[in-house]
Parts: sequence; structure tokens; C-alpha cells
Amino acid sequence: VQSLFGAATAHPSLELHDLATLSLDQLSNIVVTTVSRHEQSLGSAAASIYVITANDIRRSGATTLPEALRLAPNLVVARADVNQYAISAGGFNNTLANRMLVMIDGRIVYSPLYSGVFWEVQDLMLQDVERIEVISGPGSALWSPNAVNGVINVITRRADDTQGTLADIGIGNRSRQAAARYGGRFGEDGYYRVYGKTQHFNQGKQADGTAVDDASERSQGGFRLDWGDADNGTTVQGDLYTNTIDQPVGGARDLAGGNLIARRNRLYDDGASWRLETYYDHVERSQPGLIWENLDTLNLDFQYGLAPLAAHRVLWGASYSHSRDWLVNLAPAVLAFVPASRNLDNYHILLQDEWQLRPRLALTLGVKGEHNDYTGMEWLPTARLAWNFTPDHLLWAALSRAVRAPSRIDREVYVPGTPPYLLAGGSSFQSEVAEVYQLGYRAQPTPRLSYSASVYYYSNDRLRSLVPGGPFINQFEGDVKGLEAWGSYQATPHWRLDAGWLELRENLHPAPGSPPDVEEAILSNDPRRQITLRSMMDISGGYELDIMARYVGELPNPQVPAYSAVDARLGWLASRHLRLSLLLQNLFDPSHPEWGAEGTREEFPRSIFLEAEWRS
Amino acid sequence: MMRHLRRCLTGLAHDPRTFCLIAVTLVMLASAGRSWSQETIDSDLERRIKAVFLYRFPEFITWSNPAADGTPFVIETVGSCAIGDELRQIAHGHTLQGRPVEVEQAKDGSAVPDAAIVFICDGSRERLKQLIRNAPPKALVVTESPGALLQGSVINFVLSDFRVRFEISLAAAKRRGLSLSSRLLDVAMAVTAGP
Repeated sequence: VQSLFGAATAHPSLELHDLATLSLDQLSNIVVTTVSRHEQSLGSAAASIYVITANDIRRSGATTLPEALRLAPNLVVARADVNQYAISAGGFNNTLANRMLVMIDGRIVYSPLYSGVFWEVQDLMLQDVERIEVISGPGSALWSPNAVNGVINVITRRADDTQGTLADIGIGNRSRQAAARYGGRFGEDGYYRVYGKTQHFNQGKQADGTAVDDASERSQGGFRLDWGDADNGTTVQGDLYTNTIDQPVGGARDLAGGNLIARRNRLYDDGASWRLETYYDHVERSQPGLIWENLDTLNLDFQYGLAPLAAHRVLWGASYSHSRDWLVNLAPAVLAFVPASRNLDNYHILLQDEWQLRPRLALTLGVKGEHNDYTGMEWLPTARLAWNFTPDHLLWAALSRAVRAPSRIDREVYVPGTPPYLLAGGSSFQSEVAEVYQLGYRAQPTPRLSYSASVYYYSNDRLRSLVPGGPFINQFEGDVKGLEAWGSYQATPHWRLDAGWLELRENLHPAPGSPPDVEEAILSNDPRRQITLRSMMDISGGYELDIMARYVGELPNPQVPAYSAVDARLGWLASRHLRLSLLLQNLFDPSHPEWGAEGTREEFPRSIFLEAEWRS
Repeated sequence: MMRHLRRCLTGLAHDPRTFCLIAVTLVMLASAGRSWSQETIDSDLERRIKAVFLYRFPEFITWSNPAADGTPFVIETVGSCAIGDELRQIAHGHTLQGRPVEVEQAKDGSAVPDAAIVFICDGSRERLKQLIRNAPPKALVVTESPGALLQGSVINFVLSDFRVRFEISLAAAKRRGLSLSSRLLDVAMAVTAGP
């Protein structure tokens, strides 16, 4: 799996608390190299990266992937209802946010319907997550398409790191869950794990106490097989899931899917390496009152890294994906995709060189060509400079061109499905384009203190817009600028403090010469400021006390008031096998909304969740 | 495909910035410079794993002279490795063999007399022998230097296939009055009877 994180940082996954629960046999089987060389070449990382570690996830008490993403200070996460979220970096946030590349173990999980993520079906066993890399700003040339505003890369642990039995049950006033995983060995050097998980979420409530009919029931199971190691090995993994979500009218939304991934890595003695990955992904979405969709995707990806000359690390690759999107318009009076079904073929090629100009100065130049069925070839060049002026201080700058290619919603949606239209497709909609300038600094001046700060400037062009009654056009433009900063301070061996700070300013307007009644159709709704604070304290006797607070500024349209929320978690390692935790969310706040228009939106009340986790 | 390729090339000609980037990339391929770093051991993780091993060993070991109840279980670290913080963090609030754990750093080569475990890191060969000899006679001596079993160490950490493994000297264990459980011997990478 691609990784932007490098040697400069401690192994992000296996913290002391994780290790302390392992058997001697398991301890002797942990590979202690840093992420592989191939991945390290990305490590000088002239980019704004935050890594959510397994330990962070555990201590947050998160039980779903979107909740775990709240840990990344460079993301804005707004919960829209019991099941849906709006998640984005660098602005343009919406439940239909469409500028993030989201991957789970190399599998792209955003939907070609709208280039956004249906978060309610992206789940996994959070205990098996090794780390989540969150990159804000355009992904380097190495990433798959759509990394305009950022990349969320979820990486699960190898099967040899998840051996033995784990059973988890949790119950609270808003949800309950049960999960189990077993890992073992097979053959000479093979490891496997299998897991199953089920979760129930109670229905939500509006501010006046009116219940919203959106309770849901999720089940998911899967497996992972690993042979060899991360550098020279083979991985086969897959998942199956269903999620049934109540709807106020028309019957429940039935979502289901499955995937199968095969990946092979090879590293040669001369430092050259390659990775071949292929996956098949199936998604079923039966949404009464809107659409019925069956989506099948086959993806093939190859990357080859080599060091042809001493100071250069070159990477090239190619990828191809074929999707068959079979869709039925269930409510043409509301909305219709025309044509209803279609095939989509995409391929991309990439070339990148990381050039060590001086021992402490590296320049990365990359270019990627992305080809899509709608606009043909799009070129995405990037130049990144990283200067380690001391071993513990890194100054970096990046200049990139980012492109959001049209998705089905941009080209083929008619509202309603028959004339007269409010929105008449978008047959001439072109890619949205941004020139992105980033400048950042990060440092670890002492082993106890680390921090990062960066500023960015997006010059956006050809943004989605619309003259009411007409099709989507590219007649908006403007700039988005912002600041992202975070730090971590290990005050004592038993007490860590984290803080994050985001500032965002958007200035979008009609392009010169556009029709006078043009409206934006970007749907961005972002806070100007977000501040997060976390305290993680170990108390003697195996107790952990964690407090997380966040302030999220007002959202303009639809207006959502600014809010602050404080969550607290008490964990107790009762024995080497048993861990108990109690999570209290929204401690000082009876309820608050995070997304949506007043009158219809949900509010999230104070909640309590008790969890027991047993490991063999 | 050819049509696409032609279209890209025409597109490039109209986009001088992209064209320059590609040209520079290609030119760079022809220049020379310094070498890339090789695969590195994540020494932080290595240290964490060793700390957990040290904390877990007592489950599998019986000392011939267990200290009185209530007295601390002392783990002494010798040398410049910064493993003490990790050990303290794991042991914090826990007990080993029913006794509260204390982690002490040896000063100026003088041993802590009642240590149950002595962990010696980074010793040069001559110095290592001396340090092992200085350890309390009934203490479990753990090292991380190649060949340390020959110097009298009981358990020696080795990096093998990028994993933290350990080897055991039964003779040294016997001399120090330690009895090791078979489970510990099973996990060991090598068990030697001598010297």
C-alpha cells in the first residue's frame, strides 16, 4: 500500500500498550524495519501529513471510521445524521464532498456517482487498523485520481500482526456492537485473520425531540492472508458487508457490497521494487425513492521504483480501472441519471523522481496523466522541495496542479428526470482545475515535542456552477487559503497533549463573462476555524484517562451554529487479556447539530458507551 | 491509444509549464549524485519490544532467592540505552511476582545489589564481561550484544530477519540459580547448554 510516511518518524502502529498484550511468540514475530524502502522514498514528505495511529484510535473510543477521522486535525468532520458524514480537507466540505481520495488498503472507496464517499458503508475492524494517513492538499503524483484537496489512506495491519483471538462488545445509549477476530498461521510462512463485526445505531433526533427514522443495522466480515513480508510478499484480502438504514418513507435503504484484493510486493537487492495490485469491488445500493445501483469495478495498478542513479529515486506506474455502473432511476419525478447505466474506463500513468540535491535537500518532481471517459487526458504535475535544515526540522514547499474530473453526477443528472428541468445534466461540464501552493514547516526539537504548520493557497478555476434550469457549467472560480497547524507534547512519560488548529478562507465568485444569473453548485459549507485539544493520561493501575475537546466554527449555508464538544474516555487494562472502557460524548452539551438546515437536521445528544475487549 | 497519446502531446505543447516539468524530470534521470539510504531498523520499535520482553520474562522464570514480599522487584539497566522510560511506562502500576516494579539506571558501573533483572546494553566485549560479573549473582542477566552468552549472559537479544529474537544459555541460568520454563525455551531462537 502506498504510504507517504517515512523513516523520520517512529513506527506509528505498535505502541507499548499494544505490545504489552502480545504473547512472547507474537513479540518475536514483529518486523522492526520502518516502512519499506519503496515507501520511504516518499518519506521526506514535502506535504501536509497527519498520521492517526492505532493507539490514537483506541484511545479516542471511536467505533466507526468517520469518528476515527475526527482525530486528524487537518480534516473537518461533520456528522449529518446517524449514518452520514461530510468529511473534507481544505474546504469544499459537504455530504457530497467530492475532492478527496479515500482508500482502504489500496482500494478506492469513493463512488463514481459523485466522486464522494458513502461513509455509511466504509467500515472495518478498527482494532486491525495500523494507521490512517491523512494528507491535506493535492496528493503527489503517486496517488490515484481525485486527490484534489487531500488523501485519506487507511492501512490495516498485516495478518502476522493480528494473531490470536480478539472479542469486543460494546453497548451505549446510541449504539451497540459486537466484533471478533481470529488470526493464525498456515503453511510455511503464511498468516491469516478472519473477522466479523455487527453494529446497531439507534435513530436520531431533531432539536425539538422529533425522532428521525434512520436507525441502522450493519454487519461486515472479512479476511486477510499474508505471505512473506511487507517488501517481498503477497497479500490477499476481502470483505463482505450489508447495511440496512431505515428511511422515513419508501422503505429501508439496503446497502451491500464486497471486495477482493490481491497484492504482490517485490524488493530487489539493488533497491528496485515493484508492487502489483488488483482488486474487484462490488457495491449494491437500493435507495427507495431515489436509485437502485449495482456497481462493479475491476482495478489494476502497477508501480515500479528504482534508483538508477545514486541521488535519484524514480517511480513510475500505471493503473487501469473498469467500472460497470448499472442503475435504475426509481423516482424520475425527483432525479434521473441519463443514461441510467454506463461503463466507465479510467487509466493513469505516472512518473516521479525524488532527487537528493544535497544531503539535506530533496526535490521531487512528478507528473501524472489521468484519462477519463468524459474529458480525456488530464495532466497533473507537481514539484516539491524538502529541506531538512537540521535533522529535526523540515521546511517544505510544493506547487501542484490538481484536477477534479467529472463524475456521473456532474454530467448525467437531470432534476427532475423529465422537462422542465431545474438541472439539465452537464454534457459540456469540464474538469475543475486548481493551482495549489503550499508551504510548511515541521519539527521535533526534543523527543517530547513535535509540531507542524503549513499554509496553502488554492487558485480554483472552472468550478461547478449552474444557471437555474440549465446544465452544470464551469463558470465559478476563486481562491481558498488556509492554515493548518498541530502539535504533540509528551509532558511526562504518562501524559501526552495534542492540539490542532485550522483556519480557512474561501472567496468564490462567478468567472468574468459568465451569465448574470449563474449560481455556484459547489455545495461547500466550511467553518472558518476549528480547534482540537486532546489529553491522554496513564494512571497507575492500568487506567487511562483521555479527554478530547473540539471547537468548530459556524457553517454559513445552510447555517449551523459554531459548537464545542468535549468527550472523555476512561480505559482500564483489567488484566493482560481484558480491557474495559467507558466513553462519554458531548459531556457539557445536551445536544448540538453539525450539518444541515435548521428544522430538518439532526442533533447529537450526550452519549455513553461501555466497551469490553478481550484478547488471547 | 495513439489518438490519446497524440492529444496529450498536442496538449503539452500548449501547456509550457507541464512540458518543462517533464523535460526537467527526464534531464534529471541523466545526472548523478549521492546514494539513497538503505533499509533501516526502527530502533524505537526495537526498544519498545525489548522493554516488553524484559517485563514479560519473569512470568517464565523462577528465582532461587525470591525477595521478601513488599520489597520492590528491581530491574536495573546498565549502559546508555534509553529503555528505562519504556520499562517504567509498562510497569507503571503493575506488579511482577507480586511485588511493585522499580526501574533503576546503574551509575558508574556500580550494580544495584538487589536487582532481579540486569539489562546491559551497548557494552564493548571487554567491558561486557566485567559488567556481567558485577551483576548480583542471582540476577537474570539480559544483554543485546552478539556473543554475549559466551561472556556469561543468560538471555541475549538478537536481531534476526528484522525481528527481535533471543537466545538462552542454560548453563548461565543454572549458575545463577534460575529455572526457566519450557515455554520460554520454546520461543527462544537458540538454547545453548554451555558454556
